[in-house]
Amino acid sequence: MKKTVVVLFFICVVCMAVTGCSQKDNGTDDFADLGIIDLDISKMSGIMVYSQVVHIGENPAEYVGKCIKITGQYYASYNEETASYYHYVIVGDEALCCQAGLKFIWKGDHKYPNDYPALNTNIELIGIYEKREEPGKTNYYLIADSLSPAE
Amino acid sequence: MPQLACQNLSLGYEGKTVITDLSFHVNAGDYLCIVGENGSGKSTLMKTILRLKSPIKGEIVTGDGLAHNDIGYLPQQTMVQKDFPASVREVVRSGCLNRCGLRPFYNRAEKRMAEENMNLLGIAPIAKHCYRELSGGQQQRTLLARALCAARKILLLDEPVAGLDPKATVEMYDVIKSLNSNGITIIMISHDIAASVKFASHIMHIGNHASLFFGTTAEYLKSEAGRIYSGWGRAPA
Amino acid sequence: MGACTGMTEIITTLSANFQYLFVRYALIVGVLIALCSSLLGVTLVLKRFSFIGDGLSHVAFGAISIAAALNLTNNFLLVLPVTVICAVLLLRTGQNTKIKGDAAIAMISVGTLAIGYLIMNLFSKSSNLSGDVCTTLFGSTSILTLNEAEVWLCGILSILVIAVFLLFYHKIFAVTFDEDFMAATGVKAKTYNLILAVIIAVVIVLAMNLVGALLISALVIFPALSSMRIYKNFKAVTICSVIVSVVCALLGIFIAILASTPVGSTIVAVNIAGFLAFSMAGLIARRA
Repeated sequence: MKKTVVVLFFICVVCMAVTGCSQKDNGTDDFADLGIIDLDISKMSGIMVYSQVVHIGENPAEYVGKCIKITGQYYASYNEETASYYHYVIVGDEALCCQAGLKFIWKGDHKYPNDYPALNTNIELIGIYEKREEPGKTNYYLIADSLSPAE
Repeated sequence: MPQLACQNLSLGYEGKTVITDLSFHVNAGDYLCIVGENGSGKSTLMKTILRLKSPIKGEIVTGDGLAHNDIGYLPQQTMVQKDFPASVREVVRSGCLNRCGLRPFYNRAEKRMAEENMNLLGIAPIAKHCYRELSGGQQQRTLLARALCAARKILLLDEPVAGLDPKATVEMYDVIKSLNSNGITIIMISHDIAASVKFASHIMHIGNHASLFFGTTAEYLKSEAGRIYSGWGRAPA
Repeated sequence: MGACTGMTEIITTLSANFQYLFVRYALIVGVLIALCSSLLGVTLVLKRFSFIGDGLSHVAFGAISIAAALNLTNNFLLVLPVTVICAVLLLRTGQNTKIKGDAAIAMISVGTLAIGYLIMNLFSKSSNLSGDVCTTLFGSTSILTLNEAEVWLCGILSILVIAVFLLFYHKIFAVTFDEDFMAATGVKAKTYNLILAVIIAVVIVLAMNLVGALLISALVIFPALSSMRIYKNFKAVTICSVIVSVVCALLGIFIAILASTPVGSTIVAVNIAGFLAFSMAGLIARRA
């Protein structure tokens, strides 16, 4: 009995110590308040961001139609077959040894490279995740209403 | 039909032969003491009988319906680690495993037998104590209780009273004798020639890499080896 | 009090995170793996095979790289049998062989790690080589990127391991305490050792998902060592081990999510803290 009490006491001490490590900040966002954004990846902690983006990539059908807000690094690549540019927003995991990304299409009349930000800069996107049938395969894109630079 | 018979056994370890051409047999209900000097190969013999080691030559034949899981064993030393967490009760009950077969848990009869054996050896009060924290004598009695749980027909003991105080020694011999009276065959390695002669029905004396004597206790006391070893005769010049 | 507001904040954030499916998967798998590895940890520590977790995980890493080079979609089919075979070989070499246990583990451990990395570099078609290596060795976020099939697989294997452990509990205790006695009295010690080797291999392969190959030993030994500071019989040590392991795994995952630290290392760090707490508790309990 005595042993158990001592053990429980020490577990409580460890838990209290762990509590001190919380570093959550609670920011609020207008869009989220209005309930427009379904999934706000930009507010998640680093490790969750990466996992969430991987999950979207592996289970895209679950996210079709959802309004997603995401911050990450901008990247573009040219596809010779379709003679067009593909745009990506990339996030890394906390150890920065792995990366995952989402393809996006910026709504409106924007030309690459002039209208788009420089490669590897941080951007923030808000848009709806949609499925596009293209010749040969199905692609999923975040159809971004807005693209803005982020810190 | 002897319960256990060894024929022309040659034993050794690490490349050297310790005993050559050993033959003896044990019938059900016998009380055999194996005596001899240190290093004569007694423990090796016991381990070979238990099939923990292979003989260099010869064979061991079991009969009279003796199966491998009818055997109980008290080793001379058990290498148990310094901080092994095991209670006395857990150790004693593990002796029942050779009855369990594939059954995952001990049944009530086995648990009761473990309690009886603990009572018999006076270790029931320390049933919950950690085995490693016991004195030498208490550990020995725990292991004997375990051996008793395992022994259905035959009990092999390697120097069971080594390191015990005189009172515990007497109690141990009494317990072993009463088991023998109840029909359990005893094969015991011992340095205590006086006790061996007092309790055993048969003696085997091993020395000079061979069996110097095998037979009943009465014959032993009359034999050359018996008289020298038990101090009744004079050592040869 | 600062701690109280801290706690409520934490609880709200955590419950917000529970809505994500992959977080729930991570918690389920984390608990199951922690449970299984702690069960076996007691035996491994007492048999002086603490480092076998490391050795086998390197073997698994080697097998994973071969599977990647061969472009196998489900590398479990290769990794599991190879690891099981090595486990059996390693645990058998423990007694009476020319190469003693620790040297055998070292050879196989370092050899497979080197060859695995070599094969990955030579043959892998993955675009993110260091990422794959990093994930396999350290776990990284792999626990949070499980899909449903993997969760089911983990679940079924874990339940099998737990069932086997419960069914053979007394036998496992006996062959750990005194194998010679078991062999002498007619209990099939060699068979039970074999069964033990197989389930250890299964648990190691599963646990690589949680903490990665390099940190598995910690998951196996720390809970056992912690419980042995306080409890002195096998049953209590086993139960305490399981509780400690599960609690540390859960705490580790929560902290990793909140503070954005690598999951594997965080779990190990919590385990270390737990070990220190138990050691102190043990010292105090003995003085009292």
